[in-house]
Parts: sequence; C-alpha cells; structure tokens
Amino acid sequence: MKPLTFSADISVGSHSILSITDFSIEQGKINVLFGESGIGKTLISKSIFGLTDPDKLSIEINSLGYQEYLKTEQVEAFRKNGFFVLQEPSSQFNPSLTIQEQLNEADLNSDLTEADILSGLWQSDQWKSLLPLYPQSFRPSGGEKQRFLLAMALKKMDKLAIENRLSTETLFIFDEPSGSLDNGFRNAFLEQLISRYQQNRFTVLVITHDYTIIPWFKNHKSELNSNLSWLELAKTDSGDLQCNPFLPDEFISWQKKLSPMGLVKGVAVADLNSGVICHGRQLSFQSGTKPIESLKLKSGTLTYLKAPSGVGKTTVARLLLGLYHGENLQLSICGHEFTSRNTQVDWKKKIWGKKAGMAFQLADEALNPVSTVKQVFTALKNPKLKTNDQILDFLQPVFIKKLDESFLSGQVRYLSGGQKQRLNLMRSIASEPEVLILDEPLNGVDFRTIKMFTGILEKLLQNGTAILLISHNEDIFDKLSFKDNQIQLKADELLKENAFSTEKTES
Amino acid sequence: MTPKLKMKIPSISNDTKWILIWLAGISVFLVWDLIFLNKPALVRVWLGFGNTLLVSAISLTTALLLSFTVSSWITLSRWNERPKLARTGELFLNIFRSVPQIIGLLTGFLILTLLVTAEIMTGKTAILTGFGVTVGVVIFYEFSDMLLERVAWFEQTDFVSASRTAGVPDTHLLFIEIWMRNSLPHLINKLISGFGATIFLLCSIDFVLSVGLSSSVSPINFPPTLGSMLAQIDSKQDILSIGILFTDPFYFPSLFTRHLQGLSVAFLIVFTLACSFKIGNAFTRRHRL
Repeated sequence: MKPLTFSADISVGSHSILSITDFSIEQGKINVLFGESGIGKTLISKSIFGLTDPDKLSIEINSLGYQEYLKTEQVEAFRKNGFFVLQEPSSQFNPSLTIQEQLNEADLNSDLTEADILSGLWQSDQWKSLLPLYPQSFRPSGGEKQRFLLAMALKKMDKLAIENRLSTETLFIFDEPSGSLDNGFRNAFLEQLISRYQQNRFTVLVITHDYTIIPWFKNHKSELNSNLSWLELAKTDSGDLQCNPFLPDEFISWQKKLSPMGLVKGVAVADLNSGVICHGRQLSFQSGTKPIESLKLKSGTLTYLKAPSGVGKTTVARLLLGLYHGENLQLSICGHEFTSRNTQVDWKKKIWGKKAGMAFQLADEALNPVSTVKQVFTALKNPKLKTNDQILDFLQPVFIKKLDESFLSGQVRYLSGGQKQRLNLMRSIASEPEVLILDEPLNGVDFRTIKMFTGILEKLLQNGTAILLISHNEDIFDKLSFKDNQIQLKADELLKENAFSTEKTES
Repeated sequence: MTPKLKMKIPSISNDTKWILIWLAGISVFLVWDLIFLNKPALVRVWLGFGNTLLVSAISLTTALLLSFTVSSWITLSRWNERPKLARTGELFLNIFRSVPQIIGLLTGFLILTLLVTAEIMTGKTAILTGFGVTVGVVIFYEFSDMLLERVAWFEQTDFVSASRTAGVPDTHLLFIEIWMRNSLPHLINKLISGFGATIFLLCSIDFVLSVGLSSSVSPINFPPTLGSMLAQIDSKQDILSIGILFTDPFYFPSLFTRHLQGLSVAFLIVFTLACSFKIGNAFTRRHRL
C-alpha cells in the first residue's frame, strides 16, 4: 500500500524551525517513530493532523499553505476518523467537564461502554472513583490522565469498527503514550491497541523515546513483524530533517551485549540511612526483598535505584545533595557527615561543585537556554575549564562531529535534545566529583546518544566515580548494574494531607 | 525585459515604531513652539520637559539601584538559609509596598520642601535630584517584585538547584544567569512602565504642589517641570480655552498660536504618556512577556 508521504516547511518569521521532504507513514501499519527530543516529531505530526495553530507559525505541507492544507479531504478524514493523543495529557482535558462526561463527549458518545477498556488499562477497578472528577492539574495524576486519553482513542477505534469505518486510511497518532506510564501500564495499553489492530488493520503512528518497546514487540508480538514500521527522525548536516528507517535488530543486539559495569563492591563514599523522612514520607531501602540499613554508594560502582514513578527516587537524590531537608537524616558523603541540623550552606561549602554532582532529569530546565555552551562551563569558575581549547577537549569525547569554536559560541537553546542532555551530564562531571547522581539520563535522547552515554558511564566508573542511577529504563539498566547494586526504594506515607499527591496516586 | 525594482522597506518592530513616533511628535511640536511661542514661555515649557525627563531618569536609576539591592539581599539570604536577614529585607519591601504611592510621594515632597525652606537643599540640580530620588523610592518595590518573581520562576524549575549543585556561584547565578541573561526584556518593560508612572506621578504631585505647601516654597522657586507648568495660571487658561470651541468651532486654529504654552504642556504630558503606553504594550507583545 502506498505510504502517506508529506513534505513540510515550518518557520516562525524568517527562522526555519523544520524542513522535511520525505515524512512517510506506512498505511495499515503500526509506525513507531523515534528521534531525540526537540527534533520536531510532535510538531510535524500535529501539523499533518491539522492541529497546529496557523496564526503562530508559517507552515507549508505538501507545497500547500497551511490554511489550504487544513481544507483538504485528507485532513478532514484524519479528524473525523482518527485520533491524536497529545504528549501532555493535561492539555487535552476540559476542566469544566467530568472525566465521565469527556469519555462520552462528541464522537465518543455511543452505546459502547468504556468499562472494559479502563479495567484493562488500570488492571484494577481504581478508575471508577476517578470518573466523577473534574480534571485538575494535580488530580487525576499525569499517568491516570494519560490512560483516560488512551481509553478515549481505544473507544473511538471500537466505535469506528462497529460502523465499518476503521480502515487503513484511518490514522491514530499517539505522542509519547508511555511518557507517564510504568512498563506494566504501557504493555497493557499496547495489548489493547494490538488486539484492535489485529481485527481491523488501520494506521497507527506511535511517537516515542522508549526504545525498549522494540524488544517487547519482538518478544510478545513477533507475528506482527511485517506490520511494524520502525522510523527515526534525524537531522542532516544541512539542518534539514530526514525520516530514516530504524533497524530494530541493531537495538536488540546492542541490548543483548550489555553487561554489568564497574565494580561489584567498592569503598563506600556515601551512606544515606533508611528511615529518613521527607515531605511526609518515610523512605527506606531494600536489596532484593531484604530491607537494608542504608543506601551505600561505592567508588567505581554503579548503584541503580528502582521504584515505581512518584515514590521518591528524585527525593533521595535531592536529600543526598542537601536540596531537601530530611528529618532523621544520617548522611555521610565524601568524608563529611550531615544530619537534619545541617543547612544547605554546609552542602554548598563542602559538597556542591566539589565532591558530588547531579545531572538533573530535564536538561532543558537545568541549563540556561540563552547562555552559550562556553558560558555553561565558565560559570563554574573551574580553573581547568577556562579557555576554549580546554572546554573543547573536555566536550569532544561525547560528541561525534569535530567541535569547533562556533559550537562554543552557540546558545544552548539551539542545541538538539541529545546535545543538551550530554552538556547537562558534562557540566555535572566537570568538577570530577567522587559521587555522581544521574536522574533519568536517557530522557529524550536517541539511540546513538544512549550508546554514547553508556560509554561515558564506563569511563567514569573506571575512574572510580560512585554513580547513583535513577531511571525507569529497567530493560537497559538492569543489565548494566550488578544485582547486588540494584536497590529498591520504599516510601511509607506518614501524613494524611499527602494522600492525594500526584505521586501517591500514580504509584 | 527590465527586472522589476522592488523597494525594500526595512521592517521595524512596533515598539521602535512608537519610539520614533514619540521623537517625531516631540520634534514637530518643538519646531512649532520655536516659531509661534514667545521666548520666555518657550524656555519654561521646554526646560520643564527636560527637567521632567531628567527627574524620570534619576528616579528610574534610584529604583533600579534600590530594587537590585533589596532583591539580591532577600534572595541571597534565602539561598544561604539566613531567614532573619531575608525577612528583614521582605519587611523593608513590604513597608514601601504598604504605603500608597501618592502618599509616599507627598511625604517625600514635604520633606523636600522642609529642606528647601531651611535652605539645607539649595540649587536646582539638587532639588531635581531630590524629586527623582523621591519618586524612585516610591516606585522601586514594583521593580523588586518583578526581579523576585523572575527568581521564583526559575526556582520552580530545576535551573537554580542544578546550577548551584554544579558549582555556579550564587551571585553569578542570580545577577548574570537569571537577571542579566533571562530577565532583560522584563526589566526593560518595567523601565518603560516606570518611565510613564514617573511622569504621571510627577505631574500629579507638581499639580498638588501648586496649591502651596509653604508660603516660602511654591512652584515658582522650584525648578520648572511639566506638572508645575500645568499648574500655572497661564497654562490653565490656555487649556480652558479649548472650551471656546463649543461655541465657536472656528476658534480652533487660534488655539495653536494664542494658547500655545498650556497646549504644549498638555500635549507633552499626554503624548509622552500615550507613547510610553504603546511602546510598553508593543514591547510586551514582541517579547511575549
């Protein structure tokens, strides 16, 4: 079947944001689109679906002005028979209607019931208590909102199937459908999607950074191999975008080769007690199912901290760096002792920028977008990173292309998502810390950057850095860390006021 | 075939356009006044305008200095877990915030009057500086609020924590990364609105002063400003003469020759305020503030 092929030029004023000549979606197949964050996956998908605001951007699709494109039969069909699940679930809900009402609004209003869909997505009947709620920013949680949106898309599929309108020309787009979901919920959604797809072939585009979706398909849905189209959006040297086929076997063979890194045991350089209380929750650690007295970070060792999303993995990282105040805290880090009585000033004097570093989850937030790459490092007042040559030598190992001074003078906001993430990581290790905390380091990066990242990790461990890794990417990091160094985080709620926090609901 | 020549008009932003309109309007009025206004009145009006601009510049500089001092004091105290120092700064700010601007300004001008009558403050430059500092003290909390809001916005994200734990010094983070690199449009926008607010407050207070605060101090021995010029009986009569148009519309052209002093003052105030409003609005839109 002929693929849906689009060319697109999107600009704001005279500044070109995106230009692509060959964005192709295979009709009647499940298309999975990878690419680092900020490259334009969402923008191009929303634009072809007719969801971009024509007043804000100058858009040309298939050589048609956007207003003209929006009037085409194709866009009308997308809207009538398709569905677009947005990346940010909150923005798709109407705060003045209950969840129940929105599940039965407009096109979704039918005799069909969504109960089976919701039970499948929740794997319990917890969803029932959420139906009468008006969506707010904190409740339902991000993961719950995401599942309601997915349920809407699945319900529309059912309705179209009954009306015999579900065909290869029907397009369903899911933008980061598992962004707020743990693997279990992600798999539950994929199961429901595929069962419908197997009954009526239609066109699906899944936009994701989650490469571990590949082994899931290979292991659980091998019969669908010929119905899957793996794509990757990448930038050419000229700055244009290209939609290339992605080779899933390359990821699988890379993943198979992964083995634990660093030492099994090293000298403990950081020790955080179990039982520390933060934000009304008592945090404790387990090795396997066995409770342990403290979380120990050892030199040359990769410690992988695991817990469902929202339990408090990032809280632990912030406690280690003194960014949160913990009651009952007993922390020893790089030879310095800290208790609940210490203030941030103590961490600032002894730890920050000297002994420990942290690469925060969102590089976009952690770095100043209007600083130049050079200014990111000169701001650190590090005597080893003052001149252009020193900074270029420091950064070159994590960049494939030869870096020059123009790269240093470019602003951070113009870098790709992967480049920002690498810069974020490099800033955190610029002071050669003894303890390094990596919070979701693979967020928004492409496969090439993931491979590069594991190389950096290995070098740091060889140099004796104690690394604490926080990631929901268990399929990768379970293989990179030794079993003994995989620590489970548990959180016990102490205060009733926190019962409705988004984290709690999600976990 | 001869190629079509296309005249390329350089595109300018709306805020720049309004700055040019303001300068052009002022220039046209200056030329008109040079031709039709008698010399003593011409000197008074344009000296008053110059003095008003000078007072605005002094008040904005004062407001900037005070706001940066207080906001950095509060923020750095908070970041360094010195709650008492931070609260003192907040209290200082709240005291100024709690006083209505016009009351603060009247109080300031009362003090200035006392200083002038006691002959402690002499000389027109000193008095104008006193005006400027008084207005600056009254409006500085608005600048502080904006600077602190910018800090709060960045504190909500990981930016502050990530920078500090990476080893970026607090002063660099605050002054360079947050305020200089990320808040310049906000600051310029505040300066534009501060400029309009200063002129408005100054004109209001100068007008009030015309009633007379002291028998020995009056707008006559204060340096002329647009507000004090507006309060003069000649200017008031000039403005009231607009009312003649209701009974005699053909009197209109005479307004621009016979009643020029009052009209010039009123025009300079209203036109400057209107343009600063438009410049501020266009700037806000351009930078999506």
